[in-house]
Amino acid sequence: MNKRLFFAFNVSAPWQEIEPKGRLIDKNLRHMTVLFLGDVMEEKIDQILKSLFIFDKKIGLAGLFDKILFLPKFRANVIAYRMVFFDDIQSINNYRTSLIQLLDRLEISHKDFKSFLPHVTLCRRPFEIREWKKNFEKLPFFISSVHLYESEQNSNYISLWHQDFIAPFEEIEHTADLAFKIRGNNYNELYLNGFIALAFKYSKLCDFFTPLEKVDNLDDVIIALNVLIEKMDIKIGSPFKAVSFQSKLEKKAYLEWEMIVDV
Amino acid sequence: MFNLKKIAPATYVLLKEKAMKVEGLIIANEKLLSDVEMVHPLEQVKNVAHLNGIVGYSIAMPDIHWGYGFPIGGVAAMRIEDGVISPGGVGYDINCGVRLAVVPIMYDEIDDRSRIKLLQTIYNLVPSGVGSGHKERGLSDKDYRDLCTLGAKWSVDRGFGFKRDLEYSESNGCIEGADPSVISSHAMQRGKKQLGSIGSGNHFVEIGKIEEIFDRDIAKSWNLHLGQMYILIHSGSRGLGHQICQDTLNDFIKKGYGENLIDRQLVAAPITSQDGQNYLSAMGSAANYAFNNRQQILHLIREGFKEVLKIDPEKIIQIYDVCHNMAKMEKHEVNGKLETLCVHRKGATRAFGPGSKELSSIFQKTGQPVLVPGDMQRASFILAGLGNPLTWGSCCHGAGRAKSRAQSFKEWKGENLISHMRNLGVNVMAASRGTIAEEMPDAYKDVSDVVAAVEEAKLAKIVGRLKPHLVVKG
Repeated sequence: MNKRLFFAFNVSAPWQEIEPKGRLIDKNLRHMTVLFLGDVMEEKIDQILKSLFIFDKKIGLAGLFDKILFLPKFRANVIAYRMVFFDDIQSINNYRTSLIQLLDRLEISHKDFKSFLPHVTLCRRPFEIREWKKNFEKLPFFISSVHLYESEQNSNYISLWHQDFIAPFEEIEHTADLAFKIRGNNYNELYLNGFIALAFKYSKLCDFFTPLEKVDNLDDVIIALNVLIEKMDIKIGSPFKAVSFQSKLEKKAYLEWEMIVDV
Repeated sequence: MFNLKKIAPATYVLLKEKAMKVEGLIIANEKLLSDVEMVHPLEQVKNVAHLNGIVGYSIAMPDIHWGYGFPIGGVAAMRIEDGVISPGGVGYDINCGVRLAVVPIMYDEIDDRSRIKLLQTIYNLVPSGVGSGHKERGLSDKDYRDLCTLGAKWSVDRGFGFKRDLEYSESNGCIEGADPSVISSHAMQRGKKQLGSIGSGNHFVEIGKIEEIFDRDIAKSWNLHLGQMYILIHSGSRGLGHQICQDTLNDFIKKGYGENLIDRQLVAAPITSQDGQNYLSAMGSAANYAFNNRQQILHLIREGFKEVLKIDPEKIIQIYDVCHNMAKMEKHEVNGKLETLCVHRKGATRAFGPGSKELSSIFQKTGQPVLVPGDMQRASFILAGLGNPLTWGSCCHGAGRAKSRAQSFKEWKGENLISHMRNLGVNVMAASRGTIAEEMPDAYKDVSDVVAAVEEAKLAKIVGRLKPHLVVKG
């Protein structure tokens, strides 16, 4: 028996509560497809599962949805959001390449897109393009896991194999303010993931994002995040007052910083 | 875990440990002390006791909770000559405070339809929520200079309210020594279009009924009557204050004032240093912005009452305006001598008593009003200060949160909050459902417990209990 398979990264995002009409993909199942295998014989699936390797990033990569896409261009069947990763996308490209090499070795066919366009599909036909265009706003995301999925009818997916990533941020309890654990491999990542945590709370912050050239200490991370908050407050208002100089920083296999935000 | 020794009703001393320069003083009853959320704030009380120049005690009010450096509900007084000024001991929202006014009408005389119309009118007149402000106009540089130095008088001179309002405000609605020339252009930008708006988070306008009078004599002298309608405003210095605090923290940290401190968030400069003086000047400017903010908000509410209930704005009488995030230069007795101290109150209210020279003649007999908002359903309170010297004449400022915003938001997910509150006798409006979810009554401790502890410890005495019915949340 054949199964319809594909590799995808699951994507977490603060999706809008109410989205325009269409055949919506379940918010918990939204993903970025990296490789589509099509129909694969069951005996080949075992071979794939035995040979799979892990993605080499431990902390889920993050970024922004910066544009709405109607695909394919000339007769749109799906609505998607384009993904712009903060990190160099090379790690994902390398992973794709390694998967392609594995499948070639196992003599399993796959659809290798001419150029890889990272995106998440939100909705299938029928939909109203104008409504979706009007509704679009930039959102933050991070990838939470990678899966080998079996695709069933009606956008149902069964995970045959997966690897979970460490979340780049996690909200923690704080009575008066907002508090998060922010994770990263260096201070620049702490800045990016600190920004993502804030943007998950208030996505309009995405419009004010600026990357940092170089940051090598936590104070500068905090000052840079506060510059974003300040810019946003001047322009449209901000639910955050400031990120505090709370500098509880743990060095594990990665850096973990307790970010407290005065609200 | 904490070495507490009871020295008086609802008053505990936290004994000195290690390098604490003074003991801690905790105002709380046993119920409040048993709250597991006391651990972090009491650690912060101990940390504050390490600061240079601290006099008396590092003090915790009964609504204490975890804050930035200082706990919220923390009070600490410093000697001028060798003491420090800490922005964390004031808070980001400089001169966040509360203003109470009363309306010459019984709440129950107004029918439901008029009440709803009043709420909607005030919601439309007074900008609230994230980004709220008056987009069509912004403050000019001259406006800023003037309002930051003149205090609320600037707004009164422009027709927002009455001269009497100033007499019934802490420090007559103006902090001396403000100097806007030390404020950054970023800070000015942030506050430019926000004057006369509530803001977001736990800020609000509340209208309700004076439901119980505990001290008839004081209530009478303050023009408070049982059943009367009241207006309560909670707001502060908006983006201007936040940015001034942030600019100062950035500056102090870079200059190394945070080094060798037990908690870097207590970063503080010597009061007599140029940096310390600059902060005080900037803080004063933000404080005066906040006085103007509440002045203009009350004016807009008065206009709302005129429109809906045809009540003359002049007949809506201000009872008092208090600051609860501030550092003030005050004279207090230290070892038998009168000294000027810099008193930090962060989430704490001044509560000067009868005979206090710093109060105007209006409040010499009664002591000053102390305004303590609770949550949007149970109660707010008005008290009379007793000027307790142990706390430098300070008192609590609110109920204190019992739950985090995230927890409250999660617990109320999917519920019809407006309908739920209406069933409890409260009509609430807000720019976002999320704000209401975070601010539900059970997210807060019971303010009755807090004011009971305050009264037991003789910081203030309860004069009246206020019951909210119409609420605009920020």
